[in-house]
Amino acid sequence: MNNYKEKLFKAITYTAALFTIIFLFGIIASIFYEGAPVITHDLGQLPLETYQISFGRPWQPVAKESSVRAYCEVLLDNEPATVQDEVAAFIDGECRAVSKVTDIDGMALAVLDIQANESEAGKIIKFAIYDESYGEVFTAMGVAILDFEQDLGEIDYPIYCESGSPYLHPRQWQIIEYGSATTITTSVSFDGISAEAGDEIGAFINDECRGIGKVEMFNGVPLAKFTIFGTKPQTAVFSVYDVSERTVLGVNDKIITNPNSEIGSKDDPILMKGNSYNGGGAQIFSRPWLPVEIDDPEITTVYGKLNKDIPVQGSELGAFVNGECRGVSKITRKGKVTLATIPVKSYPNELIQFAVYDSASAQVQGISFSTSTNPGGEAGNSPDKPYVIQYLEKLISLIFGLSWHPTSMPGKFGFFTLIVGSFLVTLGALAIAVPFGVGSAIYISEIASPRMREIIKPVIELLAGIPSVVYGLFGMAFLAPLLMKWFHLDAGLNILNASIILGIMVIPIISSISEDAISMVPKNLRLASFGLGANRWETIIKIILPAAKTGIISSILLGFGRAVGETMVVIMVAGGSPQIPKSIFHSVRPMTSAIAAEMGETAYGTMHFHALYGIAAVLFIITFMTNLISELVFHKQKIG
Amino acid sequence: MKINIRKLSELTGINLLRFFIVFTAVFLISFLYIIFSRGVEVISWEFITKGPIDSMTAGGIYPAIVGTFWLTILSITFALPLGIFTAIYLVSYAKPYWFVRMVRIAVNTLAGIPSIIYGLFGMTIFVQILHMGVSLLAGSLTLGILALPVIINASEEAFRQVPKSFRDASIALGATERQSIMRVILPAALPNILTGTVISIGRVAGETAPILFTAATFYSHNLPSSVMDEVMALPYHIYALMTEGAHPAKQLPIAYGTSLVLLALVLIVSAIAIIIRYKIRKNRKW
Repeated sequence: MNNYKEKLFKAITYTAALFTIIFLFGIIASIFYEGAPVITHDLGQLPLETYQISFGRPWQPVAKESSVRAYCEVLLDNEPATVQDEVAAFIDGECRAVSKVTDIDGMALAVLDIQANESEAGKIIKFAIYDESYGEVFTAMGVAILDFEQDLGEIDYPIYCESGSPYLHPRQWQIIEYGSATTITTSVSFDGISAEAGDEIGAFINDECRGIGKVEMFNGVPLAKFTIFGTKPQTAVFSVYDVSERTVLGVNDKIITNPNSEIGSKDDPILMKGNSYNGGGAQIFSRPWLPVEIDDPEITTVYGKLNKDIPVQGSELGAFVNGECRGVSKITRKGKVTLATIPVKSYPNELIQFAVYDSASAQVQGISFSTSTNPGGEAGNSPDKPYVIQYLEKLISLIFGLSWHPTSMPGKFGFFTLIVGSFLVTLGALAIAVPFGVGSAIYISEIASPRMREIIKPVIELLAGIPSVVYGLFGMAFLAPLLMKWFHLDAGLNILNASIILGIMVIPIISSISEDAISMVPKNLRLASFGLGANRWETIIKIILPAAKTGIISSILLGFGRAVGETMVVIMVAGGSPQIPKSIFHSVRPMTSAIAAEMGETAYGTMHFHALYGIAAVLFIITFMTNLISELVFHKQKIG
Repeated sequence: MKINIRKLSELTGINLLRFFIVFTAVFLISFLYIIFSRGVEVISWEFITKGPIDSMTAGGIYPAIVGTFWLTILSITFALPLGIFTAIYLVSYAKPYWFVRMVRIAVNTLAGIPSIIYGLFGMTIFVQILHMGVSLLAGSLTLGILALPVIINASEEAFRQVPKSFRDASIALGATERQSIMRVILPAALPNILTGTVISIGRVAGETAPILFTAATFYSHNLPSSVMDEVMALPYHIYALMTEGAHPAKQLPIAYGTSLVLLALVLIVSAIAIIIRYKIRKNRKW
């Protein structure tokens, strides 16, 4: 009996120990698993269903306890829908209302009585439009929130319900102001044609207009520099206004705002491409696909890897630019890989979207993945070259890529500015923390009286426990205004601020570990040094520091690891611009800050999501190596 | 003359060291003073016992205090037994060698992983794969794993401080390994384990990054009724007040007040632990 208890107890301790290994493995696996698609990016690997809302006909509304009236203005491809067309409303995938479109003074209006239970208030209503002339169903990009207090929309101001661009915001735009703002510089084009001076671009967050920019010409490039109001990082969408045509066009590109700092510059503006064609996440392009001839095209070869369950026989992958078919390819299977190779006729810097025709279900599915043209070159991973080499090439271009514009279409995922940001802030912190930390360690162990030591040591330990978010508050609300005053700056959130705060945070770590190392130096060495006539300072510099060298280096490395991984301080005080800074008064976006600020605004499974995990993997490798080196150094000292 | 230069360099050097420590002290005292003086202005009984009102521009932080309390308690409940048993393994069994090596590497690596990575891990494993959603449970487990290395190291050190003669005496009296661990070594080591744990409580209560995507919400109307609810938490509340919302000027004093409450909680808890440890060390007879 006792023997059994003994064994059980032993097993419990082994299991507990095993868990630490499992947790570590789990952390590594989750980061690398979610980060990998940013290198392997295969067309079919992304979740099609995330973007795929299909509301198949016929529509049969389901009756519920109560109903809400909704007025919708219906547009198909930016044109008012015709009276034969239908609109339906859906809650949780269930059809709740259907109505034919009516024509009121040239406006296509649909009045829907949406069936719903009172308990469903707050749910999202999605709309679908049936285009009678083509016999096709389009998903409307706009959604409404179920509310029993009032009708949704009014006859004079109906809900915008259109199959066109998802982010189209009709004029007049009225800016709503907030306490802080992001400055953005963009270059604007319509359907591939440069915008003209006087055209406007509006930025929208939560359907509020937060900023308007007027296009001006700089050396032939149409640029708009303006501010987007908002106090926290949020997804901003855009519409552009073509003055000469008096039309508003949707824009696929989005950004995540970054209050109190700049996004884009004159030299590297964010591209905003107004589109009059259907746009948005995954788009369905109706068959048959006939590639269009364009003048003087260059070929971008796109290699697309697809889901295994798509049958090879008869299925096709189509590539589309500006709503035109630019290339079609049969799907082949090579070993275990299902893929298609498409030569896409293209001009530079165009957005290629894809759709796949599944011969088994005879249906066309949109693909949420998109890429940019690369005339004369390739996109995706070619089946003829070893994948390992291509992945390495992708990895290198990822790590040394200079642009971090994750929400533009297609997204640009270069980690380099983020890595540089992390290192600069960390080195700045060490420049402060090393002299102060090592200095106080020497003072505590060599100069302070034993009584003093007993006060100082616990105090330092206490300080190590101050939550980083409180330091962040201090940096934002107290230090930033001071720095602005002292150095006459426009913004106090920059490398210097982050370095000071991080440095203060790291002092206790460096100090306590260095002190351990210094107190490990044998007393005989000190006595011998004094005996030879050296004074205290000479003993410290020539005897004690060299003897405790490895321990001190190891403490600095640990401080480095702590600072490079610190999140809250840098997200609050480093400013947040993904740029290579020119001075310590510029703002940077360290890796941790990019992850923390953007993860909340990123849809699960998108390339941006995977890229953030990719950053986490880089961060993990950096801190892991730092700890490893620190341990090796310290281990050596213990043996020596 | 030569002696003078040596004296001078000694004087400069020692004073430089003194400057480093005095400057650090002055900075930290003014830091604490600023947080205290600005925070104390908004702190009142209502501030601690009422929820926020008028979209975060007024009212108190009670839900955030409750949220932080539960996050801390649950994460320690999860991590403490796991940590103590791992430490028992490392001290008492520690076989086979390769497994000990792996456990040590795992503990050291876990200790060095940035907290935001714990957050991503919690989001992938607990929130997504195990379908816990953004919840008190997911956040507590994430924070528990974060606290694990600290607890393991503190417990192991505490066990190692118990003299080997205790165990030998116990075994000689006919106790089994398990009995001597549970009845002799663990009680002797417990005060030190608990002080180590209490210090890690301070860390857990102040962490923000791991709960950003696993547990925290800017505003919840009700207190959490189950472990599957989202919660407000003090550190996240400070972050949210500083970076979100439409009235930064009105939110700033509340952020200072919340910081003071959090700081007071963390520092008082840690200070108690440090004092207890000091007393134990003084009174220890072995």
